Amino acid sequence: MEIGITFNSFAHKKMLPEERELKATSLAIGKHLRKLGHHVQYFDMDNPDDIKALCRARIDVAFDTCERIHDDPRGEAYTAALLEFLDIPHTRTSSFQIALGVNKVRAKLLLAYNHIPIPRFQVFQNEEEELRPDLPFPLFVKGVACENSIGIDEHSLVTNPQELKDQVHKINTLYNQPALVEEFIPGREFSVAILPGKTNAILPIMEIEFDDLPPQKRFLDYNAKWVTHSDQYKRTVPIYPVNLTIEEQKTISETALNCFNIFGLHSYARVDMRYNDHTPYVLEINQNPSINETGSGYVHSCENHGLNYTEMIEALLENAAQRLQ
Amino acid sequence: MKIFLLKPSVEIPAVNLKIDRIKAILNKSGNIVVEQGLSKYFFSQIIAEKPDVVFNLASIFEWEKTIHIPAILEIAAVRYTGSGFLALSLSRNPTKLLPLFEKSGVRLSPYKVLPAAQAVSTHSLRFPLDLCRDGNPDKIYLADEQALINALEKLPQEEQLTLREHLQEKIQSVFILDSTVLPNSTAPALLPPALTTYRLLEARGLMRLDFTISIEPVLVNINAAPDPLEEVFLKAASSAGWDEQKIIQTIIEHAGRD
Repeated sequence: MEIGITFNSFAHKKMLPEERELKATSLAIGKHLRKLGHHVQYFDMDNPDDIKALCRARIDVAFDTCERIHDDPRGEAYTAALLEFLDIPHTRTSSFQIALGVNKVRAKLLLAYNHIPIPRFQVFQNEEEELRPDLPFPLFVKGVACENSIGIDEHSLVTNPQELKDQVHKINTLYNQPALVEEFIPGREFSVAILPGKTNAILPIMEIEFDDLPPQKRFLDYNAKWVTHSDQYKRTVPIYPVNLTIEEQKTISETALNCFNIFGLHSYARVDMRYNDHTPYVLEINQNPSINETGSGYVHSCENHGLNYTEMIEALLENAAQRLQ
Repeated sequence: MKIFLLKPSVEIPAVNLKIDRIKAILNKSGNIVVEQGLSKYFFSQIIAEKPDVVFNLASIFEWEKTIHIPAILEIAAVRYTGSGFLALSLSRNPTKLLPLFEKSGVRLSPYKVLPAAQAVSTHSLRFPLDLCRDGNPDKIYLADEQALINALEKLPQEEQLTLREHLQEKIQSVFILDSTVLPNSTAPALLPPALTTYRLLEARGLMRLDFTISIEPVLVNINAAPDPLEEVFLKAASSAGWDEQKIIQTIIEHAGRD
């Protein structure tokens, strides 16, 4: 097949850690697609000439790895929208579903409507707003529309009003968006990846091990996701297989699949949860988890499912091609 | 100012007349107007023309695939009229829109979001109903259970759809153009739900909202890309002393990007 890879070159800027990984992922995907016998063309979404070329191109499927347009994460949805407009099937979920999921509050409201357990939350436009009495400390603070764990750091878990004010102020000013303040759910953290296909496959549940870390640091922050030399990265370890009863595994997996269906997703995704008091609380639905060749949770889950990287790429490509039929 | 009139892909005489009126107004105001029908090459055309504003008429007068236009205009980094990609696409997907409205406190008529296969057995709503499909402009009116069964037979059984109780009450249309609510005589009870809905959608430019006229108004319908020259709106705008020139000028002034 003739495959177009839409990607960000980030040629106009000094790359951040997650941007270096995104670019490396695009290159790795191309390498494996060629290994599968496909012809590959790259389209740099940071370059208008490449976008014009994409509008004229004759390609069968786009392997879409673009995550920014003009450095805006909403560009992920815009790129998918352009591909849909051009009638090019792509490997992402639909542009509308991507756009819907960018705002975490909107996603939470939809989950709540569908009776999926979520942490209680409040949105702060500024730090002077009053905290609702049903939200006791400790609380977790993040941006309503930050992705890739941007805005989550060692101060995100707050234990008193002053820390809350400081963190809300940081989100409002540094990231220019409202802050999402959630009750902090203690307990074990799990990720469930879903491999799309004619029947969506729930991949083996992954647990994040925090045991080595002090209680106030038991969460995944930006460093844990992207900064490989950081203490937080080294001490948050994915665990397979998980130590859960069959019943617990079923509850967690079904919750993940319900989330997938509620959002009408039809491509690779990962659902992150905290399991407490026999309840899986959904923290986030990641409609575009990292599929970096080395170190990404989604790829680990595929490997534990018996799929190597090339087979995973092939499965995602086939899923996209089938959607056109 | 250089204005790119992005027209629908299909020529419709009645629509062309309106587009000509808009073009005449823009020319009269001293703007340079470039017009182009929607095609897969419109991104390249916009990059070549470098307009100050794209007047997105395609999303107003054409339904199929026009929700994507604001996303492509964002990629082109050009200001455009009307709502952005999310507001426009959300407004056309009732299975997601209505739950979001409900959870945000907007009053709606009773409704259910459910797969077609389960719609007959589990809806528990009172007839008559409206059947709404995502991405489809037409509501299907269902007088009774048999009409529902007949309608569902034609749909994919796994499709998520929305059933809403059809309200027989009198409807009032409210228009919002950024912070201006039209007509001037809009009942005060309609202002909070209208503005809440507009902000929830993160809408921009002109939007139409239809409410039942009652003590506690119920939102019946929204249109995030209404026709700026439709009679109902022209009448609402005239209540504030706005003529067609003022309307078009205001729409251009409120062009922007997400």
